[in-house]
Amino acid sequence: MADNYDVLGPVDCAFYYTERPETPMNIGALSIYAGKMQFKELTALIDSRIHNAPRYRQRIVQAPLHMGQPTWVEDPDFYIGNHVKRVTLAPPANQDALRDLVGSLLSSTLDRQKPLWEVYLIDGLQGEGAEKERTALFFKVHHCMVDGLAAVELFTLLMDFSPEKPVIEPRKPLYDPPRLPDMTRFTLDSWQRDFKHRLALLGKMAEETTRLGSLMTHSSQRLKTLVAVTHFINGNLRPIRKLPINGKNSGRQTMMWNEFSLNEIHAIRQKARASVNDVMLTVLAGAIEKYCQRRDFNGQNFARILMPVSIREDAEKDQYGNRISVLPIDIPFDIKEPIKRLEAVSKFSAVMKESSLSLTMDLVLTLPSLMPSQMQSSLWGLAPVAFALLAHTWCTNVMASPIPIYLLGHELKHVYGFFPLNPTMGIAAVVVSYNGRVTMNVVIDKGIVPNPAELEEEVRQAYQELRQAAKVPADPEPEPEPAPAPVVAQPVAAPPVTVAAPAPVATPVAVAAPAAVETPAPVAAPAVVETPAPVETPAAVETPAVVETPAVVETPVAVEHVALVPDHPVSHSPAGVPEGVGLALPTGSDHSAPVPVPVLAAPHPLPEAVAAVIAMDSTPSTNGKSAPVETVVAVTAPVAPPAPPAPAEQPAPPAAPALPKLFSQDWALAFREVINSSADYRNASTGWTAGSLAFVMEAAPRHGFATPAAVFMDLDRGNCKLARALPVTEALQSASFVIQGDYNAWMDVLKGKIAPVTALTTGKLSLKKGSMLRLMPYTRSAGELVKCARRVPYSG
Amino acid sequence: MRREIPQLHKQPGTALVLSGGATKAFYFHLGVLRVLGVQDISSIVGTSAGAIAGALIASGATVETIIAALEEKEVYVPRYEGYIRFVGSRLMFKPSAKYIAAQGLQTGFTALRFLAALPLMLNQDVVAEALDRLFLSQRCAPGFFSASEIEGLFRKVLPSNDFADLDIDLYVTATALDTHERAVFNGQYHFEDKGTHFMNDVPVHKAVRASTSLPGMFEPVKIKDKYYIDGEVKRSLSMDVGIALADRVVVSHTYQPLLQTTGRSIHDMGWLNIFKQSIHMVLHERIAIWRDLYAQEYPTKEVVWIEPDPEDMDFFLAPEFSFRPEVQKLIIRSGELAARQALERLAIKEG
Repeated sequence: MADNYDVLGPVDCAFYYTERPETPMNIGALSIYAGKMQFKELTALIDSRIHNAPRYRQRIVQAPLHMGQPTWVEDPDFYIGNHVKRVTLAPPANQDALRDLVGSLLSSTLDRQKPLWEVYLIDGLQGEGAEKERTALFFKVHHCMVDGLAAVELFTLLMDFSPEKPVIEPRKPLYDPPRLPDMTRFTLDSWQRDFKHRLALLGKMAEETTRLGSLMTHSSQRLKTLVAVTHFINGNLRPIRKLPINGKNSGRQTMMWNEFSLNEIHAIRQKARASVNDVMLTVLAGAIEKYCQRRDFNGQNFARILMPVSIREDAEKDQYGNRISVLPIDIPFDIKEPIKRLEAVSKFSAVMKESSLSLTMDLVLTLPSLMPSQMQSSLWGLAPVAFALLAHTWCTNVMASPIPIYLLGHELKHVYGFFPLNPTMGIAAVVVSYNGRVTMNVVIDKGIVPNPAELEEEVRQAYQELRQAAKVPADPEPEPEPAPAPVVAQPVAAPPVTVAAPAPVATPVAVAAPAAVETPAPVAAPAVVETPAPVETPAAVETPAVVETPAVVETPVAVEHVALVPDHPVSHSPAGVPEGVGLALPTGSDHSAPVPVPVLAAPHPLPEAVAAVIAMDSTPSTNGKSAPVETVVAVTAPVAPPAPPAPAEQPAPPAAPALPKLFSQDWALAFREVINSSADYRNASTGWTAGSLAFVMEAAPRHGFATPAAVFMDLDRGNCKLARALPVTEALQSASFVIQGDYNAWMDVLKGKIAPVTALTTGKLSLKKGSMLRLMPYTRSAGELVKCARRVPYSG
Repeated sequence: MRREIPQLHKQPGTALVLSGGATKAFYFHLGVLRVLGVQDISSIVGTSAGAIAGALIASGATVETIIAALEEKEVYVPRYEGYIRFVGSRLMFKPSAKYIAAQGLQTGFTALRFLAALPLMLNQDVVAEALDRLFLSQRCAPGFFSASEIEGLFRKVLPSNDFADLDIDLYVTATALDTHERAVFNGQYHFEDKGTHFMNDVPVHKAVRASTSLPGMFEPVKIKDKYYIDGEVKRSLSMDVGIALADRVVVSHTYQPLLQTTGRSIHDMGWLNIFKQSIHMVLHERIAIWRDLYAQEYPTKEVVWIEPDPEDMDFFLAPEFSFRPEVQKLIIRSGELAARQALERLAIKEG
């Protein structure tokens, strides 16, 4: 019976077989941290968390004479000390010395008898400004193991959003792999394993071909593909000619990097409706042209840059290996005006992205894996020739965190990614955006590009020219986003509540805020209308809510659509008055100005089912935009006339209703309302398109959870469209991300004892569904989400 | 001078320290435990054969079950929800064919070269030359046997190979071949202090195999990129660990030289017994130094020493590696006897 080893995928094999001593196929990053990092602590941290990234403890085993596909097998001799190493930079430990050191680390291949990754802690680096010292980490991993996204997995597991030092777990799960397989048996099993693997590949290819075919049935897609192919072959029916950045690799590599302001790049890209990536491609092409102009140009009038694109589907997001294809981007040299060149790049890349070329390329890259294993090594040996005919260089981009992140309490200051050089390519660029800065790091073969400083200067100049042409002022002191405050358990004063106002003002109503609202409450705060948007009126709103609390109308407003929630108290005033809700609806059509929130008490609960329906319906607007709504009570009936605030005269408040149970339907609804009222969450989540999220609480009978409980949130660009309690099995099916933990873990998170990301990386909470990598760009959003959860009171 | 390991937390109950000493020690410990029982034992510190016995006991196998497994070969252990089966001599002596073959070829080739060169050595010290060549050729085999069966046995039968999951806390010692450190594999502590490396992330089967790798005979075991050999090489009996773990420590060991004051001399018992007597004297003396030292340093600690009767000729002459039932029974009986004697001494001491 065959084993369950993972076989290297088609693109993984490409990187595995095309590696030569002079072109190591490693990817990774050089990252620089504030202060002096302790090597022992770093090793202990990685050792305590490496089990969350199983591929990092596996090595490749292949049957002798290539009689089977290379296969991932757990390394019984895995030892962290073989992978985390320390180098001390000799004085003067400046950037040049660092580049020299990094160049030598880049130029070596990894030991194939071990898991294919290494981290070097480089200490002794000169600090900047007030800092005496900095620490650099050089991380490299073989490209056959992971693609760009998966490569950062290890660091995702290690990084924190808090400058506080993480707690290193004293115990970790036992690593107890079996011995390496007996080679005779392994070889025999290889045949069976490879047969299955090829069958799966054929199935996948058939699926992709069908997809491609169905795409081609649409005339618009056919046209796009035709346009892409035309772009691709136009004037270039013969192979491309080499540029001076191409040649025979020497194996002596180095890196050179430049750093730019993300604000500037955003301003530049807006001039040509381009993407950040287009801007960086234009800069790279500009630098290449300038570099080539001083040398034999060979008549080549454009640079062709290969851009890796992820073709990872949702079902594959937890898998390792490469799920990438490539798109070629041609950048003309004859367009001298930088903005016009940017426009051309933008147009070309848009056409390429919209075409089905990446799918086709994936099919082509899969073909060699269908050949007998013995032939694949030779076949991939020819790949460099094909690449030399196809493109001049690579450029890839990675989006890191938009806010500062920390490793062992040391702030990450700079990060420079690197990518392997294909044979015949003298440079390859990696663009990384982090904390308001964008770095372009170029890996250089010194045998082909003997003076890297020249190219570095060309990149700088090309960028300046583009910026000046775009008339974007230099950003002298780029303002990185402030670091989030360390998470501490506290009753969080709610930010001003944002409430959507209806566009067409229909029924004027008076809404009033009790005086108690003046005092900031632990949860709900006075709401401020920021963005007006119409709110759909659910049918249940027809039932008028009774306002028992005499209210003060600060601003008469008109309400057309409002949402209602049951009477669980979202907040309590210090006097114990259930503020319940806030609904701010300004008069008139100008809804941009903040308006004090009138609040209506809602002493009588709506039937839960009705409330749930209302909440689940969310707030889709007539214009398709969703509207964030604070916990609200709708009033369509006449309400109390305006009256001056008179807290002393206020009648005794009704008894506070029972708090909702954690992860119950009521709690979910309150959570949704807090989410939708949180400006911080909205600001942090404008880019959230990752789908829905579910929290699962494992059964804890001692705490009232006889069975596991789950809440589901349908999140989209800062808005929670739906929140509800549901069975765990349903949560696992319907949510894009499912985070599970036991009662104590959730309590630690909700009480602020542990940051949510730390809880995930240390295994206190586990990501049952979804990829940590996909969550990475949204960590700030996730943090705000948990902050919202903390504001929702609960019983128990 | 403080020798106790401050990082370890003292527990109520008794710490049991089990020595190495091949199969003979394994049977002896079984006899001792048959008398003592395991009820009060909160931790076991085991080395080599003591590690095997300790791991079986700590994982929930009873002494009677293990003895039955020796006799009947295959016995059901409820705690394991499976059978244990000691595979006789193969449990310890699984020949490493490739090393035996490599060493055989190299020695044979060296011998041939020596014989071919012999006519040219007429005026030389031929014996010295032969010895030189013989020793210099011993470089291609790290050992001739593999203790992989022991590893396989534990890997197969234990419900969990995590030290933390054992019923009784277990500490298994081994010696790092290249760096001379003592490793103490366990389920709780992970630190390095004064040449001792406590590790809580090594599986039981690997630790036991490392601890039993008698140098020269068994190939060393690679753990975390270091090769480990028998734990007794660095420190005979890791009493310091036991003393740190409990106020009452029971030490069971077989390093007892024969005391022959009358009658037949060991001289007449053959070279192997002379060698054995010498080794036991060295080890016994080494243990005595620590014993006295600990008695001075920790007068309040109650240390119970269980060792064979020095005049027990049958025990002394019994082979160190034996899988014969009669030898097993004899040694187990010696263990029982030694335990009873120790208890009697203790009873007398307690008054």
